[in-house]
Amino acid sequence: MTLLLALLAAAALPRLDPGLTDAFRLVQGGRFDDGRRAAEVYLASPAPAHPGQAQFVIGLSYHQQKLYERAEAHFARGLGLEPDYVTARFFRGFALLNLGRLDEARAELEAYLARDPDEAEARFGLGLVALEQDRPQDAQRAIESAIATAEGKGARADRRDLARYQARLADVHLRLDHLEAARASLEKSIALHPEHFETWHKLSRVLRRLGDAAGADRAQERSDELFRRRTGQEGS
Amino acid sequence: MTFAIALLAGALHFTDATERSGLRMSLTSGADTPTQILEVKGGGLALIDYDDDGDLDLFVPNGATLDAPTRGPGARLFENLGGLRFKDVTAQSGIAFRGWGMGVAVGDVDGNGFDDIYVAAFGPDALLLNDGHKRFRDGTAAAGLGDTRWSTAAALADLDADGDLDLYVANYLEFDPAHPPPGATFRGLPVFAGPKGLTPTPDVLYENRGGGRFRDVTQSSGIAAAKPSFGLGLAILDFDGDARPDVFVGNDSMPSFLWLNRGGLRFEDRALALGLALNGDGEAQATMGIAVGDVNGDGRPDVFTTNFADDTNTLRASLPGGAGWEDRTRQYNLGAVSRPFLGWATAFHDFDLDGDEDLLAFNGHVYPTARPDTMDSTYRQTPLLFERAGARFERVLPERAGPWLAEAHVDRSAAFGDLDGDGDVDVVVAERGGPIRLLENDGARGPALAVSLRDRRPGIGNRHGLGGKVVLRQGDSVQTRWIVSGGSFQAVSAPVAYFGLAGPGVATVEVTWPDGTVQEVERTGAGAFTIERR
Repeated sequence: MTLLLALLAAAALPRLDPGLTDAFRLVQGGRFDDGRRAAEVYLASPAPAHPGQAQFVIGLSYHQQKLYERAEAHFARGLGLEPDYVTARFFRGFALLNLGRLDEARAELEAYLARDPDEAEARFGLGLVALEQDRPQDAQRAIESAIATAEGKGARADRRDLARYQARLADVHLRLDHLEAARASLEKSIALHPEHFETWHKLSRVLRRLGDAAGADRAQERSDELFRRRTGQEGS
Repeated sequence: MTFAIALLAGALHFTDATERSGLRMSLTSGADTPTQILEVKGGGLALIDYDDDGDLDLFVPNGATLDAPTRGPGARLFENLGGLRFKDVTAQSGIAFRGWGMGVAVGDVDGNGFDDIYVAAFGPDALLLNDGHKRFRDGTAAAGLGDTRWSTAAALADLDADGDLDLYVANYLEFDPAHPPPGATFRGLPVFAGPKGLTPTPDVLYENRGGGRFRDVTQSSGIAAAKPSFGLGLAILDFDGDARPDVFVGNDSMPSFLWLNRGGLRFEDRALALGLALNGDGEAQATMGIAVGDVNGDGRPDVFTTNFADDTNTLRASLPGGAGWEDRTRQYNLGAVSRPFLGWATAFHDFDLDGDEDLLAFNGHVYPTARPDTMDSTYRQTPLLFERAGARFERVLPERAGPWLAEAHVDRSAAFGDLDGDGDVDVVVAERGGPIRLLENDGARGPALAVSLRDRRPGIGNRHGLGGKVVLRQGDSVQTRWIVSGGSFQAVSAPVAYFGLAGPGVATVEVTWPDGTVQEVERTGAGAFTIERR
């Protein structure tokens, strides 16, 4: 949600119609049905100024619920009405990625970056698309540029975002069988955010391949512990 | 001329041949609209040459309903008459199983020379012994079998290298139809409970003591050391290349097992260390269907599993030097495309006989309320067919492969084998609460080789070489197949290695029998042949 606020506040991007602020805040607060209703009320008003943005807010509510099919439909509808509201392109790109429509996802994220090249998450999204399309060199370039962009924000950089980027960069290194590079990325990721079971599991796999069985066991134990803590289910 | 070139090039094409096949049966698995988890898991299929006449017959265990879970409409047996025609021979076969059948295993457990049937069921499992005169009798109690827990899958293999077939049964969870658990929610919608939150039941390993009499060796084998899990998928073959068959168990939403065979009926779970327990992100998946193939061409088995919707199917490719497996789903283009699909039966086969293995997966959701706008998925789903295209797999669309690929079903099990003797692999599919379907592979024919194994040594029950490996070398082409026991989902496919040939020249076929014995045969030309061991 931090990202949401940042995106909507980005100076380079079109601002959300103040008439949709309440709807957005409801979505932001997890009141998705209420947010949608508020956006629909806006749409039903006489001659709404930004019907495309209202569709975006509705799409956003579904996106936050991980209902990507429905979210994508609203983002697309919104963009049909307001092609310049590029924030919708960012979210449509990720919705398409989650739906496996990779070429379209790439196109939307590239269109977004043309307007807002300083958005690290969009670069990261392009890296994920490239990884799915087995273009590891492109994925590496995209994710490294996401890391550089995020680190360029200095103290404002989100450590969790950077940890995610490093973990996915490790996936790229693994794809290329660059085990030491994968290990380095995973260790950076863990240093940034040590509470994610997935990263510890990946580190365990890499350490085992590098011949460090004891280190691998320790990393997997940590992964298991974090996973149990997350799910509240002992051992599952 | 164009048509002729297309024929030579091979094509991925199937036609639904159910109507003319005589396979008229609708599978029972609870109510039309399922309300409990028990109703969404079944049921299985088995291709079995029950009369030993050289073609593949079909056994369907069939399910039941919540109000009468042990008194369903009953299992069915269909005899292959040739030409893709089948006849229902249930009545004269003596088969009277009426439980809630799930998975099936086939093999000659009593060593009389004919394949028997084991049914994993909700309620008592059943062993149906084949007397060799087209008749079966229930041998469950005499064999020391009949586990009453909810079993989902079973597989036979000679796990202690004594010649007879031992039995692994994957169990699921505790469930009482008279007192079903309260419902749960999924994405905010009310759904039935499970598996998470319900109590998993442990798997069981039975040693065949000879003559089809079994004893439970779960404790002494080390299997009991595992945390009870929601077992769904099962595949037995030699995963680590030490000439002993190992057992891979796909657990629903829990880490999968890889029971490495240490000899003397002792097993050790090494799935986590070797990369088969979780996906690459460290997450347990639903792991329903299992396909085994040599995707990366290194002669070691690669493992593809089907999973829940909103997750991806997963391909774990073998690492160099036998270092285990690694999630390479994305690399092979099998990830994102599968997210809307909830997958079940699956298999690698060279369907178009062009010399590399393609991939087929059948799908269908468990929640009848699944819709794109509520779950990014649908209740009825189309199959997914992938053609091997260079280093990746490419999804094949219905315009090319036939209208069957556009038809949405609630599919579960599928069995794979050459049903019409034309050299390519056909498919029988079981839909939850729907008709059995026969998909005839009618794509263009390349030269094909079908290799069966037959161990004719006295006292050998593993006659088909279950757990063995077959490698075909022809020029620069090397293709590897495994005679997998289990795999797909709750199904028994033909214990045959199917190959598309590179041309008419000499091919060398190398068989590694389940005990590690290697046999090499030269073969010229296409066709079906059997490699015997005496």
